[in-house]
Amino acid sequence: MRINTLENSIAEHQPLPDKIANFVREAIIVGKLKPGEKISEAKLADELHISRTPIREAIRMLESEGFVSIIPRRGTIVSEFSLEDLYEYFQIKACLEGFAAAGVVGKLSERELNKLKRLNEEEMAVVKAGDFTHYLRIHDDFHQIFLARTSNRKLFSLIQHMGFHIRRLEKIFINYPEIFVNCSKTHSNLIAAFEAHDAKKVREIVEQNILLIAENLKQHGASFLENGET
Amino acid sequence: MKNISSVISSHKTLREKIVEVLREAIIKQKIKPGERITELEVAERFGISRTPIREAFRQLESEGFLTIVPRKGAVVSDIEEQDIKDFYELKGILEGYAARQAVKRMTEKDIVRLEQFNIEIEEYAKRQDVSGMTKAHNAFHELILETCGNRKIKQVVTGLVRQFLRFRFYVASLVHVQEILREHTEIVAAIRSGDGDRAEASMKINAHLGLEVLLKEFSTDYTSEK
Repeated sequence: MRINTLENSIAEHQPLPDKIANFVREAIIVGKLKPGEKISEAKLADELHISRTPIREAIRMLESEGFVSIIPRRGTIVSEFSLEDLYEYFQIKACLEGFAAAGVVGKLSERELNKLKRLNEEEMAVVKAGDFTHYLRIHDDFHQIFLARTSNRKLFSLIQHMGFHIRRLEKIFINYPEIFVNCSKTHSNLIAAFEAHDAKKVREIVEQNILLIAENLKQHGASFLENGET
Repeated sequence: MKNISSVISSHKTLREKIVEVLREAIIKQKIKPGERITELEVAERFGISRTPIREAFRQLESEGFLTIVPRKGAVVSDIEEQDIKDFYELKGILEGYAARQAVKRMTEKDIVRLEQFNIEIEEYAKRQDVSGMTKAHNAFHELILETCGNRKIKQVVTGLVRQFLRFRFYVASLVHVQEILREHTEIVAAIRSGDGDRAEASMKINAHLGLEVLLKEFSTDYTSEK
Protein backbone atom coordinates (compact mmCIF):
# COMPACT_ATOMS: atom_id res chain seq x y z
CA MET A 1 0.00 0.00 0.00
CA ARG A 2 1.34 3.32 -1.07
CA ILE A 3 0.41 5.19 2.08
CA ASN A 4 2.34 2.78 4.23
CA THR A 5 5.54 2.98 2.22
CA LEU A 6 5.36 6.74 2.23
CA GLU A 7 4.78 6.78 5.95
CA ASN A 8 7.61 4.36 6.63
CA SER A 9 10.08 6.39 4.66
CA ILE A 10 9.12 9.48 6.62
CA ALA A 11 9.13 7.49 9.83
CA GLU A 12 12.83 6.69 9.64
CA HIS A 13 13.75 10.31 10.20
CA GLN A 14 11.06 10.91 12.75
CA PRO A 15 11.67 11.90 16.33
CA LEU A 16 10.72 9.28 18.91
CA PRO A 17 7.50 10.99 20.09
CA ASP A 18 6.21 10.98 16.50
CA LYS A 19 6.94 7.28 16.13
CA ILE A 20 5.11 6.50 19.36
CA ALA A 21 2.17 8.68 18.30
CA ASN A 22 1.97 6.79 14.98
CA PHE A 23 1.97 3.47 16.80
CA VAL A 24 -0.79 4.44 19.25
CA ARG A 25 -2.84 6.25 16.58
CA GLU A 26 -2.85 3.18 14.36
CA ALA A 27 -4.03 1.03 17.27
CA ILE A 28 -6.92 3.46 17.79
CA ILE A 29 -7.82 3.61 14.09
CA VAL A 30 -8.03 -0.16 13.68
CA GLY A 31 -9.93 -0.49 16.95
CA LYS A 32 -7.30 -2.37 18.97
CA LEU A 33 -7.73 0.46 21.43
CA LYS A 34 -11.43 1.16 21.90
CA PRO A 35 -13.16 4.48 22.61
CA GLY A 36 -13.14 5.10 26.36
CA GLU A 37 -10.25 2.69 26.96
CA LYS A 38 -7.50 3.91 29.24
CA ILE A 39 -3.98 4.40 27.92
CA SER A 40 -1.34 3.95 30.56
CA GLU A 41 1.97 5.74 30.10
CA ALA A 42 3.68 3.26 32.39
CA LYS A 43 2.41 0.27 30.43
CA LEU A 44 3.46 1.81 27.12
CA ALA A 45 6.89 2.62 28.51
CA ASP A 46 7.20 -0.99 29.61
CA GLU A 47 5.98 -2.46 26.32
CA LEU A 48 8.12 -0.24 24.09
CA HIS A 49 11.15 -0.16 26.43
CA ILE A 50 11.42 3.61 26.45
CA SER A 51 11.25 6.38 29.00
CA ARG A 52 8.02 8.18 29.82
CA THR A 53 9.03 11.62 28.59
CA PRO A 54 8.64 10.93 24.83
CA ILE A 55 5.46 8.98 25.58
CA ARG A 56 3.98 11.94 27.40
CA GLU A 57 4.81 14.10 24.41
CA ALA A 58 3.27 11.60 21.98
CA ILE A 59 0.10 11.59 24.04
CA ARG A 60 -0.03 15.36 23.95
CA MET A 61 0.28 15.21 20.16
CA LEU A 62 -2.57 12.72 19.96
CA GLU A 63 -4.64 14.93 22.23
CA SER A 64 -4.19 17.92 19.94
CA GLU A 65 -5.16 15.70 17.00
CA GLY A 66 -8.28 14.61 18.86
CA PHE A 67 -7.52 10.90 19.21
CA VAL A 68 -7.19 10.87 23.00
CA SER A 69 -8.55 12.96 25.85
CA ILE A 70 -6.57 13.70 28.97
CA ILE A 71 -9.02 13.76 31.86
CA PRO A 72 -8.00 14.96 35.32
CA ARG A 73 -7.89 12.14 37.89
CA ARG A 74 -8.77 9.57 35.23
CA GLY A 75 -5.73 9.74 33.01
CA THR A 76 -5.59 9.40 29.25
CA ILE A 77 -8.43 7.71 27.43
CA VAL A 78 -9.16 7.00 23.78
CA SER A 79 -11.59 9.65 22.53
CA GLU A 80 -15.13 8.70 21.75
CA PHE A 81 -16.16 9.78 18.30
CA SER A 82 -19.54 10.75 17.01
CA LEU A 83 -20.89 10.78 13.48
CA GLU A 84 -21.00 14.55 13.74
CA ASP A 85 -17.22 14.58 14.44
CA LEU A 86 -16.47 12.42 11.42
CA TYR A 87 -18.76 14.53 9.27
CA GLU A 88 -16.78 17.60 10.28
CA TYR A 89 -13.48 15.93 9.45
CA PHE A 90 -14.94 15.08 6.05
CA GLN A 91 -15.86 18.74 5.49
CA ILE A 92 -12.35 19.88 6.32
CA LYS A 93 -10.87 17.15 4.13
CA ALA A 94 -13.10 18.20 1.22
CA CYS A 95 -11.95 21.80 1.53
CA LEU A 96 -8.24 20.94 1.81
CA GLU A 97 -8.19 18.19 -0.78
CA GLY A 98 -10.09 20.27 -3.32
CA PHE A 99 -7.48 22.99 -2.94
CA ALA A 100 -4.58 20.52 -3.16
CA ALA A 101 -5.99 18.81 -6.26
CA ALA A 102 -6.52 22.12 -8.06
CA GLY A 103 -2.93 23.01 -7.20
CA VAL A 104 -1.44 20.03 -9.02
CA VAL A 105 -3.38 20.60 -12.23
CA GLY A 106 -0.85 20.77 -15.06
CA LYS A 107 1.85 19.13 -12.94
CA LEU A 108 0.85 15.49 -13.39
CA SER A 109 3.09 13.50 -15.70
CA GLU A 110 1.88 11.17 -18.44
CA ARG A 111 2.91 8.28 -16.20
CA GLU A 112 0.87 9.56 -13.28
CA LEU A 113 -2.19 10.10 -15.44
CA ASN A 114 -1.82 6.55 -16.73
CA LYS A 115 -1.58 5.26 -13.17
CA LEU A 116 -4.81 7.08 -12.35
CA LYS A 117 -6.48 5.47 -15.32
CA ARG A 118 -5.23 2.02 -14.40
CA LEU A 119 -6.43 2.41 -10.80
CA ASN A 120 -9.76 3.68 -12.05
CA GLU A 121 -10.14 0.54 -14.19
CA GLU A 122 -9.22 -1.61 -11.19
CA GLU A 123 -11.89 0.20 -9.18
CA MET A 124 -14.52 -0.60 -11.76
CA ALA A 125 -13.39 -4.23 -11.84
CA VAL A 126 -13.55 -4.78 -8.06
CA VAL A 127 -16.92 -3.04 -7.90
CA LYS A 128 -18.17 -5.49 -10.49
CA ALA A 129 -16.68 -8.38 -8.55
CA GLY A 130 -18.17 -7.07 -5.30
CA ASP A 131 -14.76 -7.00 -3.60
CA PHE A 132 -15.39 -3.89 -1.51
CA THR A 133 -12.68 -4.27 1.10
CA HIS A 134 -10.15 -4.16 -1.69
CA TYR A 135 -11.93 -1.16 -3.16
CA LEU A 136 -11.10 1.10 -0.22
CA ARG A 137 -7.35 0.52 -0.74
CA ILE A 138 -7.49 1.26 -4.46
CA HIS A 139 -9.58 4.34 -3.78
CA ASP A 140 -6.95 5.59 -1.32
CA ASP A 141 -4.15 4.84 -3.78
CA PHE A 142 -5.95 6.84 -6.45
CA HIS A 143 -6.09 9.92 -4.25
CA GLN A 144 -2.48 9.48 -3.13
CA ILE A 145 -1.22 9.75 -6.72
CA PHE A 146 -2.25 13.36 -7.13
CA LEU A 147 -2.01 14.40 -3.48
CA ALA A 148 1.63 13.31 -3.40
CA ARG A 149 2.38 16.00 -5.98
CA THR A 150 1.21 18.88 -3.82
CA SER A 151 4.13 21.17 -3.01
CA ASN A 152 2.72 22.10 0.40
CA ARG A 153 3.91 19.23 2.65
CA LYS A 154 1.94 20.56 5.59
CA LEU A 155 -1.24 20.51 3.53
CA PHE A 156 -0.47 16.94 2.49
CA SER A 157 0.07 15.78 6.05
CA LEU A 158 -3.07 17.52 7.32
CA ILE A 159 -5.15 15.76 4.66
CA GLN A 160 -3.61 12.47 5.80
CA HIS A 161 -4.58 13.28 9.37
CA MET A 162 -8.19 13.98 8.47
CA GLY A 163 -8.06 10.61 6.70
CA PHE A 164 -6.86 8.88 9.89
CA HIS A 165 -10.01 10.01 11.69
CA ILE A 166 -12.22 8.94 8.84
CA ARG A 167 -10.61 5.50 8.73
CA ARG A 168 -12.07 4.79 12.18
CA LEU A 169 -15.39 4.19 10.46
CA GLU A 170 -14.51 3.46 6.86
CA LYS A 171 -15.73 -0.15 6.97
CA ILE A 172 -19.25 1.22 7.20
CA PHE A 173 -19.13 1.89 3.45
CA ILE A 174 -18.69 -1.79 2.65
CA ASN A 175 -22.40 -2.18 3.36
CA TYR A 176 -23.37 0.52 0.87
CA PRO A 177 -21.79 -0.42 -2.47
CA GLU A 178 -23.73 2.18 -4.47
CA ILE A 179 -21.26 4.77 -3.17
CA PHE A 180 -18.41 2.85 -4.82
CA VAL A 181 -20.12 2.84 -8.19
CA ASN A 182 -20.56 6.55 -7.79
CA CYS A 183 -16.92 7.16 -6.81
CA SER A 184 -15.54 5.20 -9.74
CA LYS A 185 -17.58 7.30 -12.16
CA THR A 186 -16.48 10.49 -10.43
CA HIS A 187 -12.86 9.41 -10.70
CA SER A 188 -13.24 9.03 -14.48
CA ASN A 189 -14.56 12.61 -14.64
CA LEU A 190 -11.69 13.75 -12.46
CA ILE A 191 -9.11 12.23 -14.81
CA ALA A 192 -10.77 14.03 -17.72
CA ALA A 193 -10.64 17.33 -15.82
CA PHE A 194 -6.95 16.78 -15.00
CA GLU A 195 -6.26 16.13 -18.68
CA ALA A 196 -8.18 19.26 -19.67
CA HIS A 197 -6.13 21.27 -17.13
CA ASP A 198 -9.40 22.55 -15.69
CA ALA A 199 -8.45 23.48 -12.12
CA LYS A 200 -11.87 24.84 -11.21
CA LYS A 201 -13.57 21.63 -12.28
CA VAL A 202 -10.97 19.47 -10.52
CA ARG A 203 -11.57 21.32 -7.28
CA GLU A 204 -15.32 21.06 -7.64
CA ILE A 205 -15.27 17.32 -8.38
CA VAL A 206 -12.96 16.47 -5.49
CA GLU A 207 -14.93 18.60 -3.03
CA GLN A 208 -18.31 17.28 -4.15
CA ASN A 209 -17.13 13.68 -4.12
CA ILE A 210 -15.88 13.85 -0.54
CA LEU A 211 -18.99 15.69 0.64
CA LEU A 212 -21.17 13.08 -1.03
CA ILE A 213 -19.39 10.32 0.88
CA ALA A 214 -19.91 12.38 4.04
CA GLU A 215 -23.64 12.64 3.38
CA ASN A 216 -23.77 8.88 2.96
CA LEU A 217 -22.05 8.44 6.28
CA LYS A 218 -24.57 10.73 7.94
CA GLN A 219 -27.40 8.78 6.43
CA HIS A 220 -26.23 5.27 7.28
CA GLY A 221 -23.82 5.79 10.15
CA ALA A 222 -26.28 5.88 13.02
CA SER A 223 -27.74 2.42 12.45
CA PHE A 224 -24.25 1.05 11.91
CA LEU A 225 -23.06 2.37 15.26
CA GLU A 226 -26.21 1.19 17.04
CA ASN A 227 -25.71 -2.35 15.81
CA GLY A 228 -22.34 -2.26 17.53
CA GLU A 229 -20.46 -3.40 14.47
CA THR A 230 -17.43 -1.26 15.22
CA MET B 1 9.54 20.33 53.26
CA LYS B 2 8.98 20.32 49.57
CA ASN B 3 6.10 18.22 48.34
CA ILE B 4 5.93 16.93 44.81
CA SER B 5 3.56 19.54 43.45
CA SER B 6 5.67 22.46 44.66
CA VAL B 7 8.71 20.88 43.01
CA ILE B 8 6.81 20.56 39.75
CA SER B 9 5.42 24.07 39.85
CA SER B 10 8.81 25.58 40.69
CA HIS B 11 10.23 23.64 37.76
CA LYS B 12 7.50 25.01 35.61
CA THR B 13 8.33 28.64 36.37
CA LEU B 14 12.02 27.96 35.96
CA ARG B 15 11.37 26.28 32.64
CA GLU B 16 9.19 29.17 31.51
CA LYS B 17 11.86 31.67 32.49
CA ILE B 18 14.46 29.83 30.44
CA VAL B 19 12.03 29.55 27.53
CA GLU B 20 11.40 33.30 27.57
CA VAL B 21 15.07 34.24 27.72
CA LEU B 22 16.06 31.88 24.91
CA ARG B 23 13.04 32.76 22.76
CA GLU B 24 13.83 36.46 23.01
CA ALA B 25 17.51 35.87 22.23
CA ILE B 26 16.53 33.95 19.07
CA ILE B 27 13.94 36.52 17.92
CA LYS B 28 16.39 39.38 18.47
CA GLN B 29 18.96 37.30 16.56
CA LYS B 30 21.45 37.25 19.42
CA ILE B 31 21.57 33.52 18.76
CA LYS B 32 21.44 32.85 15.04
CA PRO B 33 19.98 29.98 13.00
CA GLY B 34 22.38 27.08 12.85
CA GLU B 35 24.02 28.05 16.13
CA ARG B 36 24.23 25.38 18.81
CA ILE B 37 23.07 25.69 22.40
CA THR B 38 23.97 23.01 24.94
CA GLU B 39 22.19 22.16 28.16
CA LEU B 40 25.48 22.46 30.02
CA GLU B 41 26.11 25.98 28.78
CA VAL B 42 22.65 27.15 29.84
CA ALA B 43 22.89 25.28 33.15
CA GLU B 44 26.14 27.07 34.00
CA ARG B 45 24.83 30.46 32.97
CA PHE B 46 21.69 30.19 35.10
CA GLY B 47 23.32 28.13 37.84
CA ILE B 48 20.63 25.45 37.73
CA SER B 49 20.20 21.75 37.07
CA ARG B 50 19.72 20.37 33.58
CA THR B 51 16.20 18.95 33.94
CA PRO B 52 14.23 22.21 33.50
CA ILE B 53 16.58 23.15 30.68
CA ARG B 54 15.80 19.94 28.85
CA GLU B 55 12.09 20.71 29.26
CA ALA B 56 12.61 24.26 28.00
CA PHE B 57 14.46 22.93 24.95
CA ARG B 58 11.55 20.59 24.22
CA GLN B 59 9.03 23.40 24.45
CA LEU B 60 11.10 25.59 22.14
CA GLU B 61 11.38 22.65 19.76
CA SER B 62 7.60 22.25 19.68
CA GLU B 63 7.27 25.99 18.98
CA GLY B 64 9.69 25.61 16.07
CA PHE B 65 12.60 27.61 17.49
CA LEU B 66 15.01 24.73 18.11
CA THR B 67 15.89 21.42 16.55
CA ILE B 68 17.11 18.91 19.11
CA VAL B 69 19.94 16.69 17.93
CA PRO B 70 20.42 13.59 20.09
CA ARG B 71 23.66 13.68 22.11
CA LYS B 72 24.60 17.07 20.63
CA GLY B 73 22.20 19.51 22.20
CA ALA B 74 19.96 21.91 20.35
CA VAL B 75 20.44 23.96 17.21
CA VAL B 76 18.48 27.12 16.41
CA SER B 77 16.22 26.12 13.51
CA ASP B 78 16.52 27.75 10.14
CA ILE B 79 13.51 29.66 8.91
CA GLU B 80 12.64 28.06 5.64
CA GLU B 81 10.86 30.14 3.05
CA GLN B 82 8.84 27.06 2.10
CA ASP B 83 7.58 26.64 5.69
CA ILE B 84 6.41 30.25 5.78
CA LYS B 85 4.55 29.83 2.49
CA ASP B 86 3.05 26.45 3.43
CA PHE B 87 1.86 27.60 6.82
CA TYR B 88 0.13 30.77 5.66
CA GLU B 89 -1.39 29.12 2.62
CA LEU B 90 -2.93 26.47 4.84
CA LYS B 91 -4.08 28.98 7.44
CA GLY B 92 -5.70 31.02 4.65
CA ILE B 93 -7.61 28.01 3.31
CA LEU B 94 -8.94 26.96 6.71
CA GLU B 95 -9.76 30.40 8.08
CA GLY B 96 -11.18 31.47 4.74
CA TYR B 97 -13.47 28.46 4.74
CA ALA B 98 -14.53 29.21 8.33
CA ALA B 99 -15.30 32.85 7.49
CA ARG B 100 -17.43 31.80 4.51
CA GLN B 101 -19.42 29.38 6.67
CA ALA B 102 -19.66 31.87 9.56
CA VAL B 103 -21.46 34.35 7.31
CA LYS B 104 -24.50 32.07 7.35
CA ARG B 105 -24.46 31.57 11.10
CA MET B 106 -23.25 34.69 12.87
CA THR B 107 -25.88 36.72 14.67
CA GLU B 108 -25.75 40.51 14.96
CA LYS B 109 -24.69 39.95 18.56
CA ASP B 110 -21.68 37.90 17.40
CA ILE B 111 -20.74 40.59 14.90
CA VAL B 112 -20.89 43.27 17.59
CA ARG B 113 -18.54 41.14 19.67
CA LEU B 114 -16.09 41.07 16.76
CA GLU B 115 -16.22 44.86 16.67
CA GLN B 116 -15.59 44.99 20.40
CA PHE B 117 -12.50 42.82 20.03
CA ASN B 118 -11.19 45.28 17.45
CA ILE B 119 -11.70 48.17 19.85
CA GLU B 120 -9.85 46.17 22.52
CA ILE B 121 -6.95 45.50 20.16
CA GLU B 122 -6.63 49.23 19.54
CA GLU B 123 -6.78 50.09 23.23
CA TYR B 124 -4.20 47.51 24.23
CA ALA B 125 -1.97 48.70 21.40
CA LYS B 126 -2.14 52.26 22.69
CA ARG B 127 -1.01 51.05 26.10
CA GLN B 128 1.65 48.90 24.43
CA ASP B 129 0.23 45.87 26.22
CA VAL B 130 1.36 43.13 23.87
CA SER B 131 -0.14 40.20 25.77
CA GLY B 132 -3.52 41.95 26.06
CA MET B 133 -3.42 42.73 22.37
CA THR B 134 -2.60 39.14 21.47
CA LYS B 135 -5.48 37.94 23.62
CA ALA B 136 -8.03 40.22 21.92
CA HIS B 137 -6.58 39.37 18.53
CA ASN B 138 -6.91 35.64 19.18
CA ALA B 139 -10.44 36.12 20.52
CA PHE B 140 -11.46 37.77 17.24
CA HIS B 141 -10.22 34.83 15.16
CA GLU B 142 -11.50 32.22 17.59
CA LEU B 143 -15.04 33.58 17.55
CA ILE B 144 -15.16 33.12 13.78
CA LEU B 145 -13.78 29.59 14.07
CA GLU B 146 -16.33 28.83 16.79
CA THR B 147 -19.34 30.07 14.86
CA CYS B 148 -18.53 28.43 11.52
CA GLY B 149 -20.57 25.33 12.33
CA ASN B 150 -17.61 22.95 12.28
CA ARG B 151 -16.17 22.42 15.74
CA LYS B 152 -13.13 20.52 14.49
CA ILE B 153 -11.79 23.40 12.46
CA LYS B 154 -10.75 25.33 15.55
CA GLN B 155 -8.86 22.30 16.83
CA VAL B 156 -7.07 21.92 13.49
CA VAL B 157 -6.14 25.60 13.19
CA THR B 158 -4.99 25.75 16.82
CA GLY B 159 -2.78 22.70 16.29
CA LEU B 160 -1.32 24.25 13.16
CA VAL B 161 -0.59 27.60 14.80
CA ARG B 162 1.02 25.80 17.74
CA GLN B 163 3.43 24.01 15.40
CA PHE B 164 4.50 27.32 13.90
CA LEU B 165 4.30 29.43 17.02
CA ARG B 166 7.67 30.89 16.15
CA PHE B 167 6.10 32.80 13.25
CA ARG B 168 3.52 34.36 15.52
CA PHE B 169 6.20 35.81 17.80
CA TYR B 170 8.01 37.35 14.86
CA VAL B 171 4.86 38.72 13.26
CA ALA B 172 3.77 40.28 16.55
CA SER B 173 7.02 42.24 16.62
CA LEU B 174 6.92 43.25 12.95
CA VAL B 175 3.35 44.00 11.95
CA HIS B 176 1.64 47.35 12.50
CA VAL B 177 -1.56 47.24 14.48
CA GLN B 178 -3.27 49.67 12.07
CA GLU B 179 -2.89 47.14 9.27
CA ILE B 180 -4.45 44.39 11.36
CA LEU B 181 -7.35 46.65 12.33
CA ARG B 182 -7.99 47.74 8.75
CA GLU B 183 -8.26 44.10 7.65
CA HIS B 184 -10.33 43.06 10.66
CA THR B 185 -12.75 45.89 9.91
CA GLU B 186 -13.12 44.63 6.34
CA ILE B 187 -13.76 41.08 7.60
CA VAL B 188 -16.52 42.35 9.88
CA ALA B 189 -18.06 44.37 7.04
CA ALA B 190 -17.94 41.32 4.76
CA ILE B 191 -19.63 39.09 7.32
CA ARG B 192 -22.30 41.70 8.03
CA SER B 193 -23.01 42.06 4.30
CA GLY B 194 -23.75 38.33 4.16
CA ASP B 195 -21.37 37.87 1.22
CA GLY B 196 -19.56 34.53 1.66
CA ASP B 197 -17.08 35.12 -1.19
CA ARG B 198 -16.08 38.48 0.23
CA ALA B 199 -15.72 37.07 3.75
CA GLU B 200 -13.49 34.25 2.52
CA ALA B 201 -11.38 36.60 0.42
CA SER B 202 -10.89 39.17 3.18
CA MET B 203 -9.98 36.48 5.68
CA LYS B 204 -7.41 35.06 3.28
CA ILE B 205 -5.85 38.49 2.83
CA ASN B 206 -5.64 38.81 6.60
CA ALA B 207 -4.07 35.36 6.97
CA HIS B 208 -1.49 36.34 4.37
CA LEU B 209 -0.47 39.50 6.23
CA GLY B 210 2.03 37.48 8.25
CA LEU B 211 3.27 35.83 5.07
CA GLU B 212 4.27 39.11 3.46
CA VAL B 213 5.95 40.42 6.58
CA LEU B 214 7.92 37.24 7.18
CA LEU B 215 8.96 36.78 3.56
CA LYS B 216 10.30 40.32 3.47
CA GLU B 217 12.27 39.62 6.63
CA PHE B 218 13.57 36.14 5.90
CA SER B 219 13.45 35.34 2.22
CA THR B 220 17.10 35.82 1.29
CA ASP B 221 19.72 36.07 3.94
CA TYR B 222 18.41 34.45 7.05
CA THR B 223 19.06 30.72 6.96
CA SER B 224 22.35 29.46 8.24
CA GLU B 225 23.74 28.18 4.95
CA LYS B 226 23.07 31.33 2.98
